[in-house]
Amino acid sequence: MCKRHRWLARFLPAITLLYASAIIAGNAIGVYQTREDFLSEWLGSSQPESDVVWLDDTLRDRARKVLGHAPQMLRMRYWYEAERSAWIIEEIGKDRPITFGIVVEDGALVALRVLQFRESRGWEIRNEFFTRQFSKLHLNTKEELSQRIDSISGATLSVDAAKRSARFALVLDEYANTGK
Amino acid sequence: MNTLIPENKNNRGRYWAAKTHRVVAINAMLFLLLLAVTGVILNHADGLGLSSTYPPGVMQRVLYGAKAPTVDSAYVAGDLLFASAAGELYVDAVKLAETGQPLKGAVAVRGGIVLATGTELLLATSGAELVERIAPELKASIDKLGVRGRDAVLLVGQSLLVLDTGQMRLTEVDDSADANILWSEPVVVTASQAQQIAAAAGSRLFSWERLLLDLHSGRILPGVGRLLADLAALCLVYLCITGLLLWFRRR
Repeated sequence: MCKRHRWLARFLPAITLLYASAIIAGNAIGVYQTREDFLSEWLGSSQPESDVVWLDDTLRDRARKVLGHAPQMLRMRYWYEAERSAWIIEEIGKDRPITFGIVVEDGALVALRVLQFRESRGWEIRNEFFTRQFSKLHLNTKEELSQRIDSISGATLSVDAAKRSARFALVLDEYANTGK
Repeated sequence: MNTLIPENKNNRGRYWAAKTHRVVAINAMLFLLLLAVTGVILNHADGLGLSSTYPPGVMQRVLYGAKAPTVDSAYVAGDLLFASAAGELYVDAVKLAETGQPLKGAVAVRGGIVLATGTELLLATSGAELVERIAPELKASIDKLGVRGRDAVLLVGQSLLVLDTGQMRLTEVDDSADANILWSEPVVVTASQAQQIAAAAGSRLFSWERLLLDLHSGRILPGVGRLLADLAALCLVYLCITGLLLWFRRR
Protein backbone atom coordinates (compact mmCIF):
# COMPACT_ATOMS: atom_id res chain seq x y z
CA MET A 1 0.00 0.00 0.00
CA CYS A 2 1.46 3.40 -0.88
CA LYS A 3 2.14 5.99 1.82
CA ARG A 4 -0.94 8.05 1.02
CA HIS A 5 -3.22 5.06 1.18
CA ARG A 6 -1.66 3.96 4.46
CA TRP A 7 -2.48 7.33 6.02
CA LEU A 8 -5.98 7.18 4.62
CA ALA A 9 -6.47 3.67 6.01
CA ARG A 10 -5.39 4.88 9.42
CA PHE A 11 -7.76 7.78 9.52
CA LEU A 12 -10.69 6.36 7.59
CA PRO A 13 -12.34 4.74 10.65
CA ALA A 14 -12.15 8.03 12.55
CA ILE A 15 -13.51 10.02 9.64
CA THR A 16 -16.32 7.51 9.12
CA LEU A 17 -17.16 7.60 12.81
CA LEU A 18 -17.31 11.39 12.78
CA TYR A 19 -19.65 11.43 9.80
CA ALA A 20 -21.77 8.67 11.28
CA SER A 21 -22.02 10.53 14.59
CA ALA A 22 -23.12 13.68 12.83
CA ILE A 23 -25.73 11.81 10.82
CA ILE A 24 -27.01 9.88 13.81
CA ALA A 25 -27.13 12.99 15.98
CA GLY A 26 -28.93 14.85 13.26
CA ASN A 27 -31.49 12.05 13.01
CA ALA A 28 -32.06 11.86 16.78
CA ILE A 29 -34.94 14.32 16.64
CA GLY A 30 -38.28 12.82 15.71
CA VAL A 31 -41.33 10.79 16.59
CA TYR A 32 -40.26 7.26 17.44
CA GLN A 33 -43.71 5.93 18.20
CA THR A 34 -47.13 7.58 17.98
CA ARG A 35 -49.47 7.62 20.94
CA GLU A 36 -51.90 5.35 19.13
CA ASP A 37 -49.20 2.77 18.36
CA PHE A 38 -47.94 2.90 21.94
CA LEU A 39 -51.43 2.36 23.39
CA SER A 40 -52.11 -0.37 20.90
CA GLU A 41 -48.87 -2.13 21.84
CA TRP A 42 -49.44 -2.07 25.59
CA LEU A 43 -53.20 -1.97 26.01
CA GLY A 44 -54.28 -3.86 22.95
CA SER A 45 -56.20 -0.99 21.38
CA SER A 46 -55.30 2.32 19.77
CA GLN A 47 -58.30 3.95 21.50
CA PRO A 48 -58.68 2.24 24.86
CA GLU A 49 -60.79 3.56 27.71
CA SER A 50 -59.42 6.72 29.23
CA ASP A 51 -59.95 8.75 32.34
CA VAL A 52 -58.33 11.73 33.99
CA VAL A 53 -56.67 12.51 37.30
CA TRP A 54 -57.25 16.04 38.46
CA LEU A 55 -54.23 17.53 40.17
CA ASP A 56 -55.57 18.82 43.47
CA ASP A 57 -53.35 20.64 45.96
CA THR A 58 -52.07 17.44 47.58
CA LEU A 59 -51.20 15.85 44.30
CA ARG A 60 -49.63 19.02 42.98
CA ASP A 61 -47.34 19.13 46.04
CA ARG A 62 -46.31 15.52 45.47
CA ALA A 63 -45.82 16.24 41.78
CA ARG A 64 -43.69 19.27 42.59
CA LYS A 65 -41.41 17.16 44.79
CA VAL A 66 -41.09 14.44 42.17
CA LEU A 67 -40.72 16.66 39.11
CA GLY A 68 -38.85 19.53 40.70
CA HIS A 69 -41.41 21.97 39.31
CA ALA A 70 -45.14 22.52 39.37
CA PRO A 71 -46.96 20.41 36.79
CA GLN A 72 -48.20 22.42 33.86
CA MET A 73 -51.61 20.80 33.45
CA LEU A 74 -54.58 20.75 35.76
CA ARG A 75 -55.40 17.18 34.81
CA MET A 76 -53.51 14.18 33.49
CA ARG A 77 -55.15 11.74 31.14
CA TYR A 78 -54.47 8.03 31.29
CA TRP A 79 -55.66 5.03 29.35
CA TYR A 80 -56.37 1.70 30.95
CA GLU A 81 -57.12 -1.93 30.35
CA ALA A 82 -57.90 -4.09 33.39
CA GLU A 83 -55.24 -3.29 36.02
CA ARG A 84 -52.84 -1.74 33.56
CA SER A 85 -52.61 2.01 32.94
CA ALA A 86 -50.66 3.98 30.33
CA TRP A 87 -49.50 7.56 30.76
CA ILE A 88 -48.11 10.06 28.28
CA ILE A 89 -45.82 12.46 30.10
CA GLU A 90 -43.66 15.27 28.73
CA GLU A 91 -40.60 16.41 30.62
CA ILE A 92 -37.90 18.80 29.54
CA GLY A 93 -34.46 17.24 29.06
CA LYS A 94 -32.05 20.05 28.35
CA ASP A 95 -34.17 22.65 26.55
CA ARG A 96 -37.02 20.84 24.82
CA PRO A 97 -39.67 18.42 26.11
CA ILE A 98 -39.27 14.66 25.68
CA THR A 99 -42.49 12.68 25.32
CA PHE A 100 -42.53 9.46 27.32
CA GLY A 101 -45.04 6.66 27.24
CA ILE A 102 -45.16 4.84 30.59
CA VAL A 103 -47.09 1.72 31.49
CA VAL A 104 -47.92 0.88 35.11
CA GLU A 105 -49.53 -2.21 36.56
CA ASP A 106 -50.13 -3.09 40.22
CA GLY A 107 -48.05 -0.14 41.36
CA ALA A 108 -44.97 -1.09 39.35
CA LEU A 109 -43.57 0.04 36.03
CA VAL A 110 -44.14 -2.30 33.14
CA ALA A 111 -42.47 -0.24 30.44
CA LEU A 112 -41.06 3.17 29.67
CA ARG A 113 -40.70 4.28 26.06
CA VAL A 114 -39.49 7.48 24.40
CA LEU A 115 -42.26 8.45 21.99
CA GLN A 116 -40.83 11.73 20.74
CA PHE A 117 -37.42 13.35 21.09
CA ARG A 118 -36.83 16.99 20.20
CA GLU A 119 -33.16 17.61 20.98
CA SER A 120 -29.96 16.74 19.17
CA ARG A 121 -28.26 15.21 22.23
CA GLY A 122 -29.29 12.64 24.79
CA TRP A 123 -31.35 10.52 22.36
CA GLU A 124 -29.58 7.37 23.57
CA ILE A 125 -32.27 6.96 26.22
CA ARG A 126 -34.60 5.59 23.56
CA ASN A 127 -32.55 2.41 23.38
CA GLU A 128 -33.81 -0.77 24.97
CA PHE A 129 -30.64 -1.22 27.03
CA PHE A 130 -31.65 1.94 28.93
CA THR A 131 -35.45 1.68 29.06
CA ARG A 132 -35.49 -1.93 30.26
CA GLN A 133 -33.96 -0.75 33.55
CA PHE A 134 -37.34 0.70 34.49
CA SER A 135 -39.16 -2.60 34.28
CA LYS A 136 -40.72 -3.74 37.61
CA LEU A 137 -39.57 -0.66 39.51
CA HIS A 138 -41.87 0.94 42.02
CA LEU A 139 -41.72 3.85 44.43
CA ASN A 140 -39.98 3.48 47.78
CA THR A 141 -41.05 5.29 50.93
CA LYS A 142 -39.20 8.41 49.79
CA GLU A 143 -41.10 8.35 46.47
CA GLU A 144 -37.92 7.51 44.60
CA LEU A 145 -37.51 4.62 42.21
CA SER A 146 -36.87 1.36 44.02
CA GLN A 147 -33.62 0.76 42.13
CA ARG A 148 -30.86 2.93 40.79
CA ILE A 149 -30.93 3.70 37.09
CA ASP A 150 -27.58 3.63 35.31
CA SER A 151 -27.02 6.90 33.52
CA ILE A 152 -25.65 7.41 30.01
CA SER A 153 -22.64 9.62 29.49
CA GLY A 154 -23.65 12.75 27.61
CA ALA A 155 -27.35 12.16 28.25
CA THR A 156 -27.60 13.02 31.92
CA LEU A 157 -30.43 15.49 31.54
CA SER A 158 -32.45 13.14 29.34
CA VAL A 159 -31.91 10.33 31.85
CA ASP A 160 -33.09 12.59 34.67
CA ALA A 161 -36.18 13.51 32.66
CA ALA A 162 -36.95 9.80 32.19
CA LYS A 163 -36.58 9.11 35.91
CA ARG A 164 -38.79 12.05 36.88
CA SER A 165 -41.44 10.99 34.40
CA ALA A 166 -41.39 7.41 35.69
CA ARG A 167 -41.83 8.58 39.28
CA PHE A 168 -44.61 10.93 38.28
CA ALA A 169 -46.45 8.15 36.44
CA LEU A 170 -46.24 5.93 39.54
CA VAL A 171 -47.56 8.73 41.75
CA LEU A 172 -50.40 9.40 39.32
CA ASP A 173 -51.27 5.72 39.04
CA GLU A 174 -51.40 5.40 42.81
CA TYR A 175 -53.64 8.44 42.95
CA ALA A 176 -55.88 7.15 40.19
CA ASN A 177 -56.32 3.84 42.01
CA THR A 178 -56.74 5.10 45.53
CA GLY A 179 -57.71 8.74 45.11
CA LYS A 180 -55.05 9.87 47.61
CA MET B 1 26.11 44.84 14.56
CA ASN B 2 23.41 44.64 17.23
CA THR B 3 25.27 43.72 20.41
CA LEU B 4 22.04 42.73 22.22
CA ILE B 5 21.32 39.78 19.94
CA PRO B 6 23.60 36.84 20.86
CA GLU B 7 25.95 35.65 18.23
CA ASN B 8 25.65 31.98 19.19
CA LYS B 9 22.82 30.40 17.17
CA ASN B 10 21.42 28.43 20.15
CA ASN B 11 21.42 31.44 22.41
CA ARG B 12 19.80 33.49 19.68
CA GLY B 13 16.89 31.09 19.61
CA ARG B 14 16.40 31.43 23.36
CA TYR B 15 16.75 35.20 23.11
CA TRP B 16 13.93 35.51 20.58
CA ALA B 17 11.82 32.97 22.43
CA ALA B 18 12.16 34.94 25.66
CA LYS B 19 11.43 38.25 23.94
CA THR B 20 8.39 37.10 22.03
CA HIS B 21 7.09 34.92 24.87
CA ARG B 22 6.58 37.97 27.05
CA VAL B 23 5.12 40.11 24.30
CA VAL B 24 2.67 37.43 23.18
CA ALA B 25 1.71 36.63 26.78
CA ILE B 26 0.90 40.23 27.61
CA ASN B 27 -1.05 40.83 24.42
CA ALA B 28 -2.99 37.60 24.56
CA MET B 29 -3.62 37.68 28.30
CA LEU B 30 -7.10 39.16 28.20
CA PHE B 31 -8.29 36.88 25.40
CA LEU B 32 -6.83 33.81 27.11
CA LEU B 33 -8.46 34.76 30.41
CA LEU B 34 -11.79 35.12 28.63
CA LEU B 35 -11.36 31.70 26.99
CA ALA B 36 -10.41 30.08 30.29
CA VAL B 37 -13.20 31.62 32.36
CA THR B 38 -15.95 31.01 29.80
CA GLY B 39 -14.64 27.50 29.22
CA VAL B 40 -14.80 26.60 32.91
CA ILE B 41 -18.31 28.01 33.29
CA LEU B 42 -19.51 26.23 30.14
CA ASN B 43 -18.16 22.97 31.52
CA HIS B 44 -20.73 23.28 34.29
CA ALA B 45 -23.50 24.83 32.22
CA ASP B 46 -25.95 22.01 32.87
CA GLY B 47 -25.51 22.13 36.62
CA LEU B 48 -25.84 25.91 36.64
CA GLY B 49 -28.96 25.75 34.45
CA LEU B 50 -27.49 28.22 32.00
CA SER B 51 -29.56 26.97 29.09
CA SER B 52 -32.78 27.92 30.85
CA THR B 53 -31.81 31.28 32.29
CA TYR B 54 -31.58 34.40 30.23
CA PRO B 55 -29.71 37.71 30.27
CA PRO B 56 -31.83 40.87 30.42
CA GLY B 57 -33.74 41.49 27.19
CA VAL B 58 -31.91 44.74 26.60
CA MET B 59 -28.55 42.94 26.71
CA GLN B 60 -29.78 40.37 24.21
CA ARG B 61 -30.96 43.02 21.81
CA VAL B 62 -27.79 45.11 22.12
CA LEU B 63 -25.38 42.17 21.79
CA TYR B 64 -27.22 40.30 19.08
CA GLY B 65 -29.11 43.08 17.38
CA ALA B 66 -32.16 40.89 17.87
CA LYS B 67 -35.45 42.51 17.14
CA ALA B 68 -38.26 42.00 19.57
CA PRO B 69 -40.48 39.16 18.24
CA THR B 70 -43.73 40.13 16.61
CA VAL B 71 -47.11 38.66 17.33
CA ASP B 72 -47.93 35.93 14.77
CA SER B 73 -51.64 35.80 15.47
CA ALA B 74 -54.07 36.71 18.18
CA TYR B 75 -57.59 35.67 19.08
CA VAL B 76 -60.08 36.69 21.72
CA ALA B 77 -62.03 34.05 23.63
CA GLY B 78 -63.83 34.37 26.92
CA ASP B 79 -62.70 38.02 27.24
CA LEU B 80 -59.07 36.94 27.14
CA LEU B 81 -56.54 37.80 24.47
CA PHE B 82 -54.55 34.79 23.30
CA ALA B 83 -51.55 35.53 21.12
CA SER B 84 -48.65 33.55 19.72
CA ALA B 85 -45.16 34.97 19.26
CA ALA B 86 -41.83 33.24 18.71
CA GLY B 87 -43.44 29.79 19.12
CA GLU B 88 -44.98 30.63 22.47
CA LEU B 89 -48.56 31.13 23.52
CA TYR B 90 -49.48 34.12 25.64
CA VAL B 91 -52.66 35.07 27.42
CA ASP B 92 -52.86 38.75 28.20
CA ALA B 93 -49.07 39.00 27.69
CA VAL B 94 -48.35 36.21 30.20
CA LYS B 95 -46.78 33.03 28.82
CA LEU B 96 -49.16 30.08 28.88
CA ALA B 97 -47.33 27.39 26.93
CA GLU B 98 -44.78 26.64 24.28
CA THR B 99 -46.46 25.54 21.09
CA GLY B 100 -43.80 25.96 18.42
CA GLN B 101 -46.49 27.08 16.00
CA PRO B 102 -48.77 30.07 15.52
CA LEU B 103 -52.24 30.04 16.96
CA LYS B 104 -55.03 29.15 14.54
CA GLY B 105 -57.99 29.94 16.75
CA ALA B 106 -59.43 30.28 20.22
CA VAL B 107 -63.04 29.65 21.22
CA ALA B 108 -64.98 29.58 24.46
CA VAL B 109 -66.99 26.35 24.71
CA ARG B 110 -68.65 24.08 27.23
CA GLY B 111 -65.76 22.96 29.42
CA GLY B 112 -63.51 25.98 28.99
CA ILE B 113 -61.54 27.60 26.23
CA VAL B 114 -60.15 25.61 23.32
CA LEU B 115 -57.06 26.81 21.47
CA ALA B 116 -55.66 25.34 18.29
CA THR B 117 -52.38 25.46 16.45
CA GLY B 118 -51.79 23.59 13.20
CA THR B 119 -51.19 20.30 15.01
CA GLU B 120 -52.25 20.68 18.61
CA LEU B 121 -55.30 21.40 20.74
CA LEU B 122 -55.11 23.01 24.16
CA LEU B 123 -57.88 23.20 26.71
CA ALA B 124 -57.77 26.01 29.24
CA THR B 125 -60.09 27.21 31.97
CA SER B 126 -61.88 30.52 31.71
CA GLY B 127 -59.16 31.78 34.05
CA ALA B 128 -56.52 30.76 31.48
CA GLU B 129 -55.06 27.82 33.37
CA LEU B 130 -53.94 25.00 31.13
CA VAL B 131 -56.08 21.92 31.64
CA GLU B 132 -54.84 19.53 28.98
CA ARG B 133 -53.23 19.48 25.57
CA ILE B 134 -53.27 16.88 22.83
CA ALA B 135 -51.62 16.44 19.46
CA PRO B 136 -54.11 14.24 17.63
CA GLU B 137 -53.10 12.23 14.60
CA LEU B 138 -54.79 14.04 11.74
CA LYS B 139 -54.71 13.61 7.97
CA ALA B 140 -53.90 17.29 7.50
CA SER B 141 -53.14 20.28 9.68
CA ILE B 142 -55.85 22.21 11.47
CA ASP B 143 -57.08 25.02 9.23
CA LYS B 144 -59.73 26.63 11.37
CA LEU B 145 -61.25 26.42 14.81
CA GLY B 146 -64.83 27.38 15.48
CA VAL B 147 -67.78 26.82 17.74
CA ARG B 148 -71.14 25.25 16.96
CA GLY B 149 -73.58 25.55 19.79
CA ARG B 150 -71.31 24.92 22.78
CA ASP B 151 -68.90 22.54 21.05
CA ALA B 152 -65.54 23.25 19.48
CA VAL B 153 -65.26 22.26 15.83
CA LEU B 154 -62.19 22.02 13.67
CA LEU B 155 -61.75 22.21 9.94
CA VAL B 156 -59.00 19.81 8.91
CA GLY B 157 -58.65 19.73 5.15
CA GLN B 158 -62.17 19.00 3.93
CA SER B 159 -63.23 17.33 7.18
CA LEU B 160 -65.17 18.80 10.05
CA LEU B 161 -64.31 17.41 13.47
CA VAL B 162 -66.11 17.99 16.74
CA LEU B 163 -64.08 17.97 19.96
CA ASP B 164 -65.30 16.25 23.11
CA THR B 165 -63.49 18.31 25.78
CA GLY B 166 -64.14 15.66 28.43
CA GLN B 167 -62.46 12.86 26.55
CA MET B 168 -60.36 15.16 24.34
CA ARG B 169 -61.48 13.06 21.43
CA LEU B 170 -62.35 14.20 17.92
CA THR B 171 -65.30 12.89 15.95
CA GLU B 172 -65.76 13.54 12.27
CA VAL B 173 -69.14 14.90 11.20
CA ASP B 174 -70.59 15.25 7.74
CA ASP B 175 -71.78 18.80 7.51
CA SER B 176 -68.68 20.84 6.75
CA ALA B 177 -70.84 23.48 5.12
CA ASP B 178 -72.83 24.03 8.31
CA ALA B 179 -73.79 27.69 8.48
CA ASN B 180 -74.24 27.56 12.25
CA ILE B 181 -70.50 27.38 12.83
CA LEU B 182 -68.91 30.53 14.15
CA TRP B 183 -65.29 30.42 13.05
CA SER B 184 -62.66 32.01 15.24
CA GLU B 185 -61.32 35.16 13.59
CA PRO B 186 -57.93 36.73 14.33
CA VAL B 187 -57.76 40.13 15.91
CA VAL B 188 -55.23 42.91 15.59
CA VAL B 189 -53.46 43.61 18.86
CA THR B 190 -52.92 47.17 20.01
CA ALA B 191 -49.43 48.63 20.00
CA SER B 192 -49.29 48.44 23.77
CA GLN B 193 -50.33 44.77 23.81
CA ALA B 194 -47.81 43.94 21.09
CA GLN B 195 -45.10 45.65 23.09
CA GLN B 196 -45.94 43.72 26.26
CA ILE B 197 -45.95 40.39 24.46
CA ALA B 198 -42.75 41.23 22.59
CA ALA B 199 -41.06 42.19 25.87
CA ALA B 200 -42.10 38.88 27.45
CA ALA B 201 -41.09 36.83 24.38
CA GLY B 202 -37.96 38.84 23.60
CA SER B 203 -36.42 38.26 26.99
CA ARG B 204 -35.85 34.59 26.12
CA LEU B 205 -34.19 34.68 22.73
CA PHE B 206 -30.66 33.81 23.84
CA SER B 207 -29.79 31.97 27.02
CA TRP B 208 -26.74 32.56 29.19
CA GLU B 209 -25.26 29.38 27.77
CA ARG B 210 -25.60 30.68 24.25
CA LEU B 211 -24.02 33.98 25.22
CA LEU B 212 -21.07 32.28 26.88
CA LEU B 213 -20.61 29.95 23.91
CA ASP B 214 -20.50 32.95 21.61
CA LEU B 215 -18.01 34.73 23.87
CA HIS B 216 -15.88 31.60 24.05
CA SER B 217 -15.85 31.07 20.30
CA GLY B 218 -15.57 34.75 19.38
CA ARG B 219 -18.87 34.69 17.51
CA ILE B 220 -20.09 37.54 19.66
CA LEU B 221 -18.23 39.84 17.27
CA PRO B 222 -19.42 39.25 13.74
CA GLY B 223 -16.66 38.67 11.20
CA VAL B 224 -13.48 39.35 13.13
CA GLY B 225 -14.51 37.64 16.39
CA ARG B 226 -13.78 34.08 15.29
CA LEU B 227 -10.41 35.13 13.91
CA LEU B 228 -9.53 36.72 17.24
CA ALA B 229 -10.49 33.53 19.04
CA ASP B 230 -8.35 31.51 16.62
CA LEU B 231 -5.49 33.94 17.17
CA ALA B 232 -5.79 33.63 20.96
CA ALA B 233 -5.65 29.85 20.64
CA LEU B 234 -2.59 30.05 18.40
CA CYS B 235 -0.95 32.40 20.91
CA LEU B 236 -1.51 29.79 23.59
CA VAL B 237 0.17 27.17 21.43
CA TYR B 238 3.05 29.56 20.78
CA LEU B 239 3.44 30.25 24.50
CA CYS B 240 3.58 26.52 25.20
CA ILE B 241 6.31 26.02 22.60
CA THR B 242 8.42 29.01 23.63
CA GLY B 243 7.87 28.21 27.30
CA LEU B 244 9.16 24.65 26.78
CA LEU B 245 12.06 25.96 24.77
CA LEU B 246 13.07 28.39 27.49
CA TRP B 247 12.74 25.72 30.15
CA PHE B 248 14.84 23.21 28.22
CA ARG B 249 17.54 25.74 27.41
CA ARG B 250 17.69 26.79 31.05
CA ARG B 251 18.24 23.18 32.07
